[in-house]
Amino acid sequence: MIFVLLIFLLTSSCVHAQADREEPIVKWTTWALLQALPSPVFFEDNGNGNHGTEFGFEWQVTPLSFTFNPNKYLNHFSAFHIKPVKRFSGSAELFFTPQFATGSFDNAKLQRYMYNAGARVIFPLAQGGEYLSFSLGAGYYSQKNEFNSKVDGIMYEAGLYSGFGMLGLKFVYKENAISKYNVGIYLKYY
Amino acid sequence: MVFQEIAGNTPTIFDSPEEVTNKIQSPVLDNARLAVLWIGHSSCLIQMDVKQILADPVLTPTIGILSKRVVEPGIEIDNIPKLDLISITHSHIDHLSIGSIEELLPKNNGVPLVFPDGLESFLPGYDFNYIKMNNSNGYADENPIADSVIVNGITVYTVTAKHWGGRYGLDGFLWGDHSYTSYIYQYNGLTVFFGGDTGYDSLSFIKIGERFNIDLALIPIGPCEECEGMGNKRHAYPEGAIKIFLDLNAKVLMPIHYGVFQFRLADVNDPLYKFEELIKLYNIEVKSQILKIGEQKTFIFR
Repeated sequence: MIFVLLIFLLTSSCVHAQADREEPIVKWTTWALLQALPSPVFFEDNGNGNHGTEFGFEWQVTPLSFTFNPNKYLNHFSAFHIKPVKRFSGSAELFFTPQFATGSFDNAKLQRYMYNAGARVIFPLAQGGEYLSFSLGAGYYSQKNEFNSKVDGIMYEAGLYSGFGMLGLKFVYKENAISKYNVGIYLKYY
Repeated sequence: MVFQEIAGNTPTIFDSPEEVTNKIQSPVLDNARLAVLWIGHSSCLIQMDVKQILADPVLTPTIGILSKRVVEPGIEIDNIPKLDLISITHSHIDHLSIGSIEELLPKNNGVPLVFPDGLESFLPGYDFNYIKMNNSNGYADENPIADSVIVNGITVYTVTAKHWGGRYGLDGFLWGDHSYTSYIYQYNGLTVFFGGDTGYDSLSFIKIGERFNIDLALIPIGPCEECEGMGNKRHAYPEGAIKIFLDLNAKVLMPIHYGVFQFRLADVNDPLYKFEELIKLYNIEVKSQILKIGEQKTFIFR
Protein backbone atom coordinates (compact mmCIF):
# COMPACT_ATOMS: atom_id res chain seq x y z
CA MET A 1 0.00 0.00 0.00
CA ILE A 2 2.83 2.37 0.85
CA PHE A 3 4.36 1.76 -2.56
CA VAL A 4 1.07 2.45 -4.28
CA LEU A 5 0.81 5.70 -2.35
CA LEU A 6 4.35 6.58 -3.32
CA ILE A 7 3.58 6.10 -6.99
CA PHE A 8 0.64 8.44 -6.78
CA LEU A 9 2.76 10.96 -4.97
CA LEU A 10 5.28 10.64 -7.76
CA THR A 11 2.72 11.48 -10.37
CA SER A 12 1.63 14.48 -8.37
CA SER A 13 3.00 17.93 -8.88
CA CYS A 14 0.88 19.34 -6.13
CA VAL A 15 2.70 18.51 -2.95
CA HIS A 16 4.01 21.63 -1.36
CA ALA A 17 5.17 20.49 2.06
CA GLN A 18 8.71 19.43 1.30
CA ALA A 19 11.91 19.59 3.25
CA ASP A 20 13.95 22.62 2.25
CA ARG A 21 17.34 21.18 3.04
CA GLU A 22 18.81 17.74 3.33
CA GLU A 23 18.37 16.32 6.81
CA PRO A 24 20.62 13.25 7.17
CA ILE A 25 18.94 12.02 10.34
CA VAL A 26 15.51 12.16 8.75
CA LYS A 27 16.83 10.62 5.58
CA TRP A 28 18.57 7.66 7.14
CA THR A 29 15.87 7.03 9.74
CA THR A 30 13.11 6.91 7.14
CA TRP A 31 15.26 4.83 4.82
CA ALA A 32 15.94 2.30 7.61
CA LEU A 33 12.25 2.16 8.50
CA LEU A 34 11.35 1.54 4.88
CA GLN A 35 13.84 -1.32 4.71
CA ALA A 36 11.99 -2.92 7.59
CA LEU A 37 8.83 -3.11 5.49
CA PRO A 38 8.49 -6.74 4.38
CA SER A 39 7.62 -8.05 0.94
CA PRO A 40 4.74 -10.55 0.86
CA VAL A 41 5.56 -14.02 -0.42
CA PHE A 42 3.82 -17.39 -0.91
CA PHE A 43 5.76 -20.56 -0.12
CA GLU A 44 4.94 -23.95 -1.50
CA ASP A 45 4.15 -26.44 1.28
CA ASN A 46 4.41 -30.00 -0.03
CA GLY A 47 4.92 -33.25 1.83
CA ASN A 48 3.45 -36.71 2.41
CA GLY A 49 1.47 -36.43 -0.80
CA ASN A 50 -0.23 -33.22 0.33
CA HIS A 51 0.07 -29.87 -1.39
CA GLY A 52 -0.49 -26.42 0.00
CA THR A 53 0.84 -22.89 0.28
CA GLU A 54 1.94 -20.76 3.18
CA PHE A 55 1.87 -17.00 3.23
CA GLY A 56 4.81 -15.12 4.68
CA PHE A 57 7.13 -12.19 4.42
CA GLU A 58 10.66 -11.55 3.30
CA TRP A 59 13.03 -8.61 3.49
CA GLN A 60 15.13 -7.37 0.59
CA VAL A 61 18.67 -6.68 1.76
CA THR A 62 21.27 -5.68 -0.82
CA PRO A 63 24.72 -5.66 0.74
CA LEU A 64 26.47 -4.75 -2.50
CA SER A 65 25.49 -3.55 -5.95
CA PHE A 66 27.57 -2.97 -9.05
CA THR A 67 26.11 -0.71 -11.73
CA PHE A 68 27.23 -1.58 -15.24
CA ASN A 69 27.01 1.88 -16.74
CA PRO A 70 26.66 4.71 -14.23
CA ASN A 71 27.02 8.30 -15.39
CA LYS A 72 30.43 9.84 -14.77
CA TYR A 73 29.33 11.42 -11.48
CA LEU A 74 28.27 8.17 -9.85
CA ASN A 75 30.27 5.26 -8.51
CA HIS A 76 29.86 1.75 -9.87
CA PHE A 77 29.44 0.36 -6.36
CA SER A 78 26.73 0.86 -3.78
CA ALA A 79 26.14 -0.85 -0.46
CA PHE A 80 22.70 -1.36 1.12
CA HIS A 81 21.33 2.05 0.02
CA ILE A 82 20.96 1.70 -3.75
CA LYS A 83 19.86 4.60 -5.92
CA PRO A 84 17.04 3.19 -8.05
CA VAL A 85 18.58 4.34 -11.35
CA LYS A 86 21.80 2.49 -10.52
CA ARG A 87 19.78 -0.68 -10.08
CA PHE A 88 17.16 -0.67 -12.85
CA SER A 89 19.44 0.69 -15.57
CA GLY A 90 21.54 -2.48 -15.42
CA SER A 91 23.40 -3.90 -12.46
CA ALA A 92 24.55 -6.95 -10.57
CA GLU A 93 23.91 -7.26 -6.88
CA LEU A 94 24.35 -9.53 -3.91
CA PHE A 95 21.17 -10.23 -2.04
CA PHE A 96 20.26 -11.56 1.35
CA THR A 97 16.59 -12.39 1.91
CA PRO A 98 15.45 -13.43 5.39
CA GLN A 99 12.02 -15.04 5.22
CA PHE A 100 9.25 -15.82 7.66
CA ALA A 101 6.11 -17.87 7.12
CA THR A 102 3.08 -16.70 9.07
CA GLY A 103 1.72 -20.26 9.39
CA SER A 104 3.40 -23.61 9.95
CA PHE A 105 4.49 -25.87 7.10
CA ASP A 106 2.15 -28.71 8.00
CA ASN A 107 3.03 -30.76 4.95
CA ALA A 108 6.72 -30.02 4.46
CA LYS A 109 7.44 -30.06 8.20
CA LEU A 110 9.77 -27.10 7.91
CA GLN A 111 10.44 -24.39 10.45
CA ARG A 112 9.03 -20.94 9.74
CA TYR A 113 12.30 -19.01 9.54
CA MET A 114 14.61 -19.36 6.54
CA TYR A 115 16.75 -17.31 4.17
CA ASN A 116 18.09 -17.05 0.65
CA ALA A 117 21.39 -15.44 -0.31
CA GLY A 118 23.03 -15.03 -3.66
CA ALA A 119 23.55 -12.77 -6.64
CA ARG A 120 21.28 -11.45 -9.35
CA VAL A 121 21.71 -9.45 -12.52
CA ILE A 122 19.17 -6.78 -13.51
CA PHE A 123 18.53 -5.70 -17.09
CA PRO A 124 16.49 -2.71 -18.31
CA LEU A 125 13.57 -3.42 -20.63
CA ALA A 126 11.62 -0.17 -21.05
CA GLN A 127 12.44 3.51 -20.49
CA GLY A 128 15.93 2.72 -19.31
CA GLY A 129 14.52 0.16 -16.88
CA GLU A 130 12.46 2.74 -15.03
CA TYR A 131 9.19 1.39 -16.41
CA LEU A 132 10.23 -2.25 -16.75
CA SER A 133 13.28 -4.34 -15.91
CA PHE A 134 13.95 -7.98 -15.18
CA SER A 135 16.42 -9.99 -13.18
CA LEU A 136 17.94 -13.44 -13.07
CA GLY A 137 19.72 -14.76 -10.03
CA ALA A 138 21.04 -17.77 -8.20
CA GLY A 139 22.24 -18.52 -4.72
CA TYR A 140 21.87 -20.61 -1.63
CA TYR A 141 18.79 -21.36 0.43
CA SER A 142 18.74 -22.53 3.99
CA GLN A 143 15.85 -23.91 6.01
CA LYS A 144 15.44 -26.27 8.96
CA ASN A 145 13.00 -29.10 9.35
CA GLU A 146 11.02 -30.02 12.45
CA PHE A 147 13.99 -32.04 13.76
CA ASN A 148 16.19 -28.96 13.51
CA SER A 149 18.20 -30.48 10.67
CA LYS A 150 19.35 -28.18 7.91
CA VAL A 151 17.61 -28.34 4.54
CA ASP A 152 19.66 -26.34 2.08
CA GLY A 153 20.81 -26.16 -1.51
CA ILE A 154 20.92 -24.09 -4.65
CA MET A 155 18.12 -21.68 -5.55
CA TYR A 156 17.35 -19.84 -8.76
CA GLU A 157 15.18 -16.79 -9.15
CA ALA A 158 13.70 -14.51 -11.78
CA GLY A 159 12.10 -11.12 -11.23
CA LEU A 160 10.14 -8.55 -13.19
CA TYR A 161 10.12 -4.97 -11.93
CA SER A 162 8.22 -1.80 -12.61
CA GLY A 163 7.63 1.34 -10.54
CA PHE A 164 11.21 2.64 -10.88
CA GLY A 165 12.57 -0.80 -10.04
CA MET A 166 11.08 -0.65 -6.58
CA LEU A 167 8.06 -2.86 -7.16
CA GLY A 168 8.40 -6.32 -8.65
CA LEU A 169 7.22 -9.87 -8.96
CA LYS A 170 9.76 -12.51 -7.97
CA PHE A 171 9.76 -16.22 -8.63
CA VAL A 172 12.11 -18.62 -6.78
CA TYR A 173 12.94 -22.25 -7.48
CA LYS A 174 14.81 -24.32 -4.88
CA GLU A 175 16.75 -27.24 -6.22
CA ASN A 176 16.39 -30.54 -4.36
CA ALA A 177 13.83 -29.17 -1.94
CA ILE A 178 10.46 -30.86 -1.39
CA SER A 179 8.78 -27.47 -1.48
CA LYS A 180 10.52 -25.93 -4.43
CA TYR A 181 8.62 -22.79 -5.37
CA ASN A 182 8.11 -19.32 -3.89
CA VAL A 183 6.30 -16.43 -5.54
CA GLY A 184 6.40 -13.00 -4.00
CA ILE A 185 6.16 -9.28 -4.44
CA TYR A 186 9.44 -7.38 -4.36
CA LEU A 187 9.31 -4.09 -2.46
CA LYS A 188 12.36 -1.97 -1.80
CA TYR A 189 12.71 1.81 -1.57
CA TYR A 190 16.31 2.78 -2.35
CA MET B 1 -5.19 14.58 -1.53
CA VAL B 2 -3.94 11.32 -3.03
CA PHE B 3 -7.50 10.25 -3.80
CA GLN B 4 -8.13 13.60 -5.38
CA GLU B 5 -5.12 12.90 -7.57
CA ILE B 6 -6.50 9.51 -8.56
CA ALA B 7 -9.88 10.98 -9.39
CA GLY B 8 -8.27 13.77 -11.34
CA ASN B 9 -6.22 11.37 -13.41
CA THR B 10 -8.82 8.68 -13.98
CA PRO B 11 -10.24 9.99 -17.27
CA THR B 12 -6.85 10.31 -18.89
CA ILE B 13 -5.74 6.76 -18.12
CA PHE B 14 -8.21 5.37 -20.64
CA ASP B 15 -8.25 8.22 -23.14
CA SER B 16 -5.91 8.70 -26.05
CA PRO B 17 -4.06 12.00 -25.97
CA GLU B 18 -5.44 14.75 -28.16
CA GLU B 19 -3.77 14.75 -31.54
CA VAL B 20 -1.63 17.70 -32.60
CA THR B 21 -2.37 18.35 -36.25
CA ASN B 22 0.09 19.75 -38.77
CA LYS B 23 3.16 19.09 -36.68
CA ILE B 24 6.21 20.92 -37.87
CA GLN B 25 8.60 18.61 -39.66
CA SER B 26 11.53 20.98 -40.22
CA PRO B 27 11.89 23.17 -37.17
CA VAL B 28 15.24 24.73 -38.09
CA LEU B 29 14.44 28.21 -39.38
CA ASP B 30 16.88 30.01 -41.66
CA ASN B 31 15.28 33.39 -41.07
CA ALA B 32 15.09 33.25 -37.28
CA ARG B 33 17.50 34.57 -34.68
CA LEU B 34 15.29 33.54 -31.78
CA ALA B 35 12.44 31.04 -32.08
CA VAL B 36 10.66 28.54 -29.86
CA LEU B 37 8.66 25.45 -30.71
CA TRP B 38 6.45 24.51 -27.77
CA ILE B 39 6.40 20.72 -27.44
CA GLY B 40 4.07 20.95 -24.46
CA HIS B 41 4.28 21.39 -20.68
CA SER B 42 7.83 22.68 -20.13
CA SER B 43 9.39 21.02 -23.16
CA CYS B 44 10.64 23.61 -25.62
CA LEU B 45 12.86 23.53 -28.67
CA ILE B 46 14.67 26.86 -28.63
CA GLN B 47 16.57 28.18 -31.63
CA MET B 48 19.18 30.89 -30.94
CA ASP B 49 20.66 31.76 -34.31
CA VAL B 50 22.20 28.49 -35.51
CA LYS B 51 22.01 26.77 -32.13
CA GLN B 52 19.29 24.33 -31.15
CA ILE B 53 18.51 23.87 -27.46
CA LEU B 54 16.04 21.33 -26.12
CA ALA B 55 14.79 22.17 -22.65
CA ASP B 56 13.17 19.63 -20.31
CA PRO B 57 12.39 17.10 -23.05
CA VAL B 58 9.35 14.97 -22.20
CA LEU B 59 8.13 13.15 -25.30
CA THR B 60 6.75 9.92 -23.88
CA PRO B 61 3.03 9.01 -23.78
CA THR B 62 3.15 8.75 -19.99
CA ILE B 63 5.21 10.04 -17.09
CA GLY B 64 5.77 8.08 -13.91
CA ILE B 65 4.12 5.10 -15.64
CA LEU B 66 0.57 6.07 -14.71
CA SER B 67 0.14 9.71 -15.67
CA LYS B 68 -0.84 9.99 -19.32
CA ARG B 69 -0.52 13.00 -21.55
CA VAL B 70 -3.73 14.85 -22.34
CA VAL B 71 -2.19 16.15 -25.57
CA GLU B 72 0.48 14.40 -27.59
CA PRO B 73 3.95 15.98 -27.99
CA GLY B 74 4.09 18.94 -30.38
CA ILE B 75 6.78 17.39 -32.55
CA GLU B 76 7.72 13.90 -33.68
CA ILE B 77 10.95 12.84 -32.07
CA ASP B 78 12.44 12.00 -35.47
CA ASN B 79 11.91 15.62 -36.54
CA ILE B 80 13.88 17.09 -33.66
CA PRO B 81 17.11 18.32 -35.26
CA LYS B 82 20.60 17.49 -34.10
CA LEU B 83 20.91 19.45 -30.89
CA ASP B 84 23.64 21.70 -29.54
CA LEU B 85 22.44 21.52 -25.97
CA ILE B 86 19.96 19.60 -23.86
CA SER B 87 19.08 21.09 -20.49
CA ILE B 88 17.10 19.63 -17.64
CA THR B 89 15.89 21.85 -14.82
CA HIS B 90 15.11 19.21 -12.23
CA SER B 91 14.52 15.58 -11.48
CA HIS B 92 10.71 15.41 -11.38
CA ILE B 93 9.05 13.06 -13.82
CA ASP B 94 7.42 15.84 -15.84
CA HIS B 95 10.84 17.39 -16.56
CA LEU B 96 13.33 14.53 -16.57
CA SER B 97 12.04 11.73 -18.80
CA ILE B 98 14.54 8.91 -19.06
CA GLY B 99 12.56 7.35 -21.90
CA SER B 100 12.74 10.62 -23.82
CA ILE B 101 16.45 11.22 -23.46
CA GLU B 102 17.03 7.59 -24.37
CA GLU B 103 15.14 8.19 -27.63
CA LEU B 104 17.13 11.36 -28.31
CA LEU B 105 20.43 9.55 -27.90
CA PRO B 106 20.95 8.01 -31.37
CA LYS B 107 20.92 11.40 -33.08
CA ASN B 108 22.64 13.25 -30.24
CA ASN B 109 25.46 11.04 -29.08
CA GLY B 110 27.96 13.16 -27.17
CA VAL B 111 25.76 16.25 -27.08
CA PRO B 112 26.13 18.36 -23.90
CA LEU B 113 23.37 17.72 -21.39
CA VAL B 114 23.40 20.17 -18.49
CA PHE B 115 21.66 19.60 -15.19
CA PRO B 116 21.81 20.92 -11.62
CA ASP B 117 23.85 19.35 -8.85
CA GLY B 118 22.10 16.29 -7.45
CA LEU B 119 20.31 15.29 -10.62
CA GLU B 120 23.12 12.87 -11.48
CA SER B 121 21.48 10.53 -8.95
CA PHE B 122 18.57 10.06 -11.36
CA LEU B 123 20.37 9.74 -14.70
CA PRO B 124 21.52 6.53 -16.37
CA GLY B 125 24.96 6.59 -17.94
CA TYR B 126 23.94 7.40 -21.50
CA ASP B 127 26.48 8.70 -24.01
CA PHE B 128 25.67 12.38 -23.63
CA ASN B 129 28.28 14.83 -22.46
CA TYR B 130 26.82 15.20 -18.98
CA ILE B 131 27.66 18.53 -17.34
CA LYS B 132 26.70 19.01 -13.73
CA MET B 133 26.21 22.63 -12.70
CA ASN B 134 26.31 24.13 -9.25
CA ASN B 135 22.99 25.35 -7.90
CA SER B 136 24.14 26.53 -4.46
CA ASN B 137 22.43 23.58 -2.78
CA GLY B 138 19.07 24.72 -4.05
CA TYR B 139 19.92 28.45 -3.92
CA ALA B 140 20.35 28.27 -0.18
CA ASP B 141 22.71 31.24 -0.11
CA GLU B 142 20.26 33.68 -1.77
CA ASN B 143 22.74 34.25 -4.59
CA PRO B 144 20.51 34.03 -7.68
CA ILE B 145 23.32 33.12 -10.09
CA ALA B 146 25.08 29.94 -9.08
CA ASP B 147 27.22 28.78 -11.97
CA SER B 148 28.02 29.21 -15.65
CA VAL B 149 29.50 27.10 -18.40
CA ILE B 150 30.11 27.56 -22.12
CA VAL B 151 29.05 24.58 -24.22
CA ASN B 152 29.07 24.57 -27.99
CA GLY B 153 29.37 28.36 -27.86
CA ILE B 154 26.26 28.73 -25.71
CA THR B 155 26.76 30.24 -22.27
CA VAL B 156 24.54 28.56 -19.73
CA TYR B 157 23.90 29.99 -16.27
CA THR B 158 22.12 28.25 -13.44
CA VAL B 159 19.85 30.79 -11.78
CA THR B 160 17.29 30.73 -9.02
CA ALA B 161 14.40 28.33 -8.97
CA LYS B 162 12.13 28.01 -5.95
CA HIS B 163 11.17 24.38 -6.10
CA TRP B 164 12.13 21.00 -4.69
CA GLY B 165 13.98 17.95 -5.93
CA GLY B 166 13.81 14.19 -5.70
CA ARG B 167 12.00 11.80 -8.00
CA TYR B 168 10.69 8.88 -6.02
CA GLY B 169 8.53 10.58 -3.42
CA LEU B 170 10.26 10.72 -0.07
CA ASP B 171 13.65 11.70 -1.51
CA GLY B 172 12.17 15.07 -2.41
CA PHE B 173 9.49 15.44 0.23
CA LEU B 174 11.49 14.36 3.28
CA TRP B 175 15.13 13.95 2.37
CA GLY B 176 15.58 17.44 0.99
CA ASP B 177 17.08 16.62 -2.41
CA HIS B 178 17.94 19.93 -4.05
CA SER B 179 18.40 19.06 -7.72
CA TYR B 180 16.53 21.98 -9.30
CA THR B 181 17.36 25.19 -11.10
CA SER B 182 16.30 27.70 -13.72
CA TYR B 183 18.58 28.57 -16.63
CA ILE B 184 19.78 31.53 -18.62
CA TYR B 185 21.05 30.71 -22.13
CA GLN B 186 23.14 33.29 -23.97
CA TYR B 187 24.32 33.08 -27.54
CA ASN B 188 25.45 35.72 -29.99
CA GLY B 189 23.86 38.60 -28.10
CA LEU B 190 20.61 36.75 -27.39
CA THR B 191 19.46 35.92 -23.87
CA VAL B 192 16.71 33.50 -22.84
CA PHE B 193 15.44 32.72 -19.35
CA PHE B 194 14.00 29.23 -18.87
CA GLY B 195 12.08 28.83 -15.60
CA GLY B 196 11.13 25.16 -15.94
CA ASP B 197 9.23 24.95 -12.69
CA THR B 198 9.54 27.59 -9.99
CA GLY B 199 7.73 29.61 -7.41
CA TYR B 200 7.90 33.37 -7.08
CA ASP B 201 10.60 35.07 -5.06
CA SER B 202 10.58 38.78 -4.43
CA LEU B 203 14.35 39.33 -4.63
CA SER B 204 16.02 36.76 -6.85
CA PHE B 205 14.31 37.54 -10.14
CA ILE B 206 14.93 41.27 -9.72
CA LYS B 207 18.64 40.54 -9.32
CA ILE B 208 18.61 38.26 -12.37
CA GLY B 209 16.87 41.02 -14.33
CA GLU B 210 19.53 43.50 -13.26
CA ARG B 211 22.29 41.20 -14.41
CA PHE B 212 20.86 40.04 -17.78
CA ASN B 213 19.11 41.77 -20.65
CA ILE B 214 16.56 39.04 -21.32
CA ASP B 215 14.97 38.80 -24.74
CA LEU B 216 12.59 36.00 -23.90
CA ALA B 217 11.40 34.53 -20.60
CA LEU B 218 9.80 31.08 -20.57
CA ILE B 219 7.99 31.00 -17.26
CA PRO B 220 5.79 28.30 -15.68
CA ILE B 221 2.22 29.35 -14.88
CA GLY B 222 0.98 26.17 -13.22
CA PRO B 223 -0.06 23.80 -12.00
CA CYS B 224 -3.07 25.22 -10.21
CA GLU B 225 -6.81 24.73 -9.82
CA GLU B 226 -8.27 28.05 -8.85
CA CYS B 227 -5.06 29.82 -9.89
CA GLU B 228 -5.77 32.83 -7.70
CA GLY B 229 -2.82 34.71 -6.27
CA MET B 230 0.92 34.45 -6.72
CA GLY B 231 1.14 30.74 -6.07
CA ASN B 232 3.02 28.93 -3.37
CA LYS B 233 6.71 28.79 -2.58
CA ARG B 234 7.26 25.94 -5.07
CA HIS B 235 4.98 26.90 -7.96
CA ALA B 236 4.17 30.25 -9.48
CA TYR B 237 0.55 30.68 -10.50
CA PRO B 238 -0.19 32.94 -13.48
CA GLU B 239 0.06 36.09 -11.39
CA GLY B 240 3.35 34.91 -9.89
CA ALA B 241 4.65 34.17 -13.37
CA ILE B 242 3.76 37.68 -14.49
CA LYS B 243 5.54 39.09 -11.45
CA ILE B 244 8.61 37.02 -12.30
CA PHE B 245 8.47 38.41 -15.83
CA LEU B 246 8.18 41.98 -14.59
CA ASP B 247 11.01 41.45 -12.09
CA LEU B 248 13.20 39.97 -14.83
CA ASN B 249 12.44 43.01 -16.98
CA ALA B 250 12.37 40.68 -19.97
CA LYS B 251 11.11 41.73 -23.37
CA VAL B 252 8.74 38.85 -24.06
CA LEU B 253 6.93 36.36 -21.82
CA MET B 254 5.94 32.90 -22.99
CA PRO B 255 3.95 30.80 -20.49
CA ILE B 256 4.83 27.13 -20.06
CA HIS B 257 4.13 24.24 -17.67
CA TYR B 258 0.45 23.67 -18.40
CA GLY B 259 -1.78 22.00 -20.96
CA VAL B 260 -0.41 18.44 -20.96
CA PHE B 261 -0.60 16.66 -17.62
CA GLN B 262 -3.65 16.46 -15.41
CA PHE B 263 -3.45 18.28 -12.11
CA ARG B 264 -6.06 17.18 -9.57
CA LEU B 265 -9.51 17.87 -11.01
CA ALA B 266 -8.50 21.00 -12.90
CA ASP B 267 -8.74 21.58 -16.61
CA VAL B 268 -5.18 21.38 -17.91
CA ASN B 269 -5.66 24.85 -19.36
CA ASP B 270 -6.98 26.52 -16.20
CA PRO B 271 -3.62 28.30 -15.69
CA LEU B 272 -3.85 29.64 -19.24
CA TYR B 273 -7.38 31.01 -18.80
CA LYS B 274 -6.25 32.91 -15.70
CA PHE B 275 -3.11 34.06 -17.46
CA GLU B 276 -5.15 35.47 -20.34
CA GLU B 277 -7.23 37.48 -17.87
CA LEU B 278 -4.23 38.78 -16.01
CA ILE B 279 -2.14 39.93 -18.97
CA LYS B 280 -4.97 42.33 -19.80
CA LEU B 281 -5.08 43.54 -16.21
CA TYR B 282 -1.30 44.04 -16.14
CA ASN B 283 -1.40 45.54 -19.61
CA ILE B 284 1.26 43.18 -20.97
CA GLU B 285 -0.76 41.58 -23.76
CA VAL B 286 1.65 42.74 -26.43
CA LYS B 287 4.61 41.34 -24.52
CA SER B 288 2.99 37.94 -23.96
CA GLN B 289 3.17 35.17 -26.53
CA ILE B 290 0.90 32.20 -25.97
CA LEU B 291 1.76 29.27 -28.21
CA LYS B 292 -0.33 26.23 -29.00
CA ILE B 293 1.31 22.85 -28.51
CA GLY B 294 3.30 22.16 -31.66
CA GLU B 295 3.35 25.80 -32.68
CA GLN B 296 6.64 27.50 -33.49
CA LYS B 297 7.07 31.23 -33.03
CA THR B 298 9.90 33.42 -34.22
CA PHE B 299 10.55 36.20 -31.72
CA ILE B 300 13.49 37.85 -33.48
CA PHE B 301 14.08 37.61 -37.22
CA ARG B 302 17.45 37.78 -38.91
